Amino acid sequence: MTEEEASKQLRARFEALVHAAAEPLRKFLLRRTDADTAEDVLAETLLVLWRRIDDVPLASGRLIDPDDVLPWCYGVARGCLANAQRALRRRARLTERLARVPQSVPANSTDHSDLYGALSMLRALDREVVLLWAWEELAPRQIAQVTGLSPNAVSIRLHRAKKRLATQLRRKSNGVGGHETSEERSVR
Amino acid sequence: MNDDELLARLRAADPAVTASAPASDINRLVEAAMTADNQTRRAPSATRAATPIDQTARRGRRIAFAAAAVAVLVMGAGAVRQTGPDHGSGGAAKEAAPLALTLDGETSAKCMEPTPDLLRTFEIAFEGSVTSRNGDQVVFRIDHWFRGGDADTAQLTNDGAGGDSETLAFEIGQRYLVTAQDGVVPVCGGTNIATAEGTALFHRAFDK
Repeated sequence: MTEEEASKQLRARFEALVHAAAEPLRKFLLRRTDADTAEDVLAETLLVLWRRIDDVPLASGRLIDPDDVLPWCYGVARGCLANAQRALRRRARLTERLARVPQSVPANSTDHSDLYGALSMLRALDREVVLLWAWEELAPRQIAQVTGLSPNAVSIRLHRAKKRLATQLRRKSNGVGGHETSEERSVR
Repeated sequence: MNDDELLARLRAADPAVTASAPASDINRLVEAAMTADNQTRRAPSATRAATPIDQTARRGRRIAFAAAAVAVLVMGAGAVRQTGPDHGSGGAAKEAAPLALTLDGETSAKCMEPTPDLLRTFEIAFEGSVTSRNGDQVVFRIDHWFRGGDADTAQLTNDGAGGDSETLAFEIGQRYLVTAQDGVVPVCGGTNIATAEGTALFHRAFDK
């Protein structure tokens, strides 16, 4: 195989991967940050995927099964997003604007403020596991791939986080304050 | 509220469903990634073949560590925890837990060139700039986490066993790549001044 052919093949592989993953990745990011940051981090994520194209699971053929590659790609995007948010936080702190930076909230948030409020009460990793389950529609095995937890740990964490989330939502609909009791915290 | 009800409620609140952003232009994204990477990756087909030669040929600027120096690297818990909903989820923000690391002073200062496989054996890897040096203390501002943490700063303390912190040669304003395992920053673990080659190597090792 000439170098040119090999290069073409890699490019085809990458194109197939982007076709399968770009839209799910874009949604993944839109669910976790504002639109501008999502766009930046998507570009960064694809750059990483291109660099690591040799390591993308099962990306050898032209046909790519999203179920096979997406958890891996989400894991990459998650890392890129964490780095981007760290940079944003640092910049915000430098200018002492963090407290005044308005949190972007989706346009339809009025309908779902209780839910977003309840989600924000979860710990970051618990929230991520719940969102990967509900929004990315991943199975515990795939969530494990994204987060680096074991499938067993994901199942336990997901079960507890769902329970906690449901409790929060019940409380909010009953008009009780959203703070959890010490009893609940001790279960963690 | 059972699982199905909870799931329905979550799905209804999915920000991506109602987001007004236009769909991605696949071709533009492909081009952008391949163009942006010209600096760090050559013709993709050549990269794999060239990698081993690359590594042996790469001129490594080794840092001379004091043979008996023991230093502790403490990750500052400086990360601001998100308290409010970030777009309803804020999913990727993790809590920063302080870490204490020790510099391994056992080995001599002459090291083999690090490889991605070697780098991947470490649980901690970051790129950071030295913001201050006060006696035997060096403070890093962490510019990029490759693996293992979420802190914004790291503090390397030489406890003075060797008595010669000068040989650590961490200079203010200089960027370094740092690795650590089990609380130890090994001398030959790839910890070095950050160069374009070094950073690219870390990316190859840790970008999933």
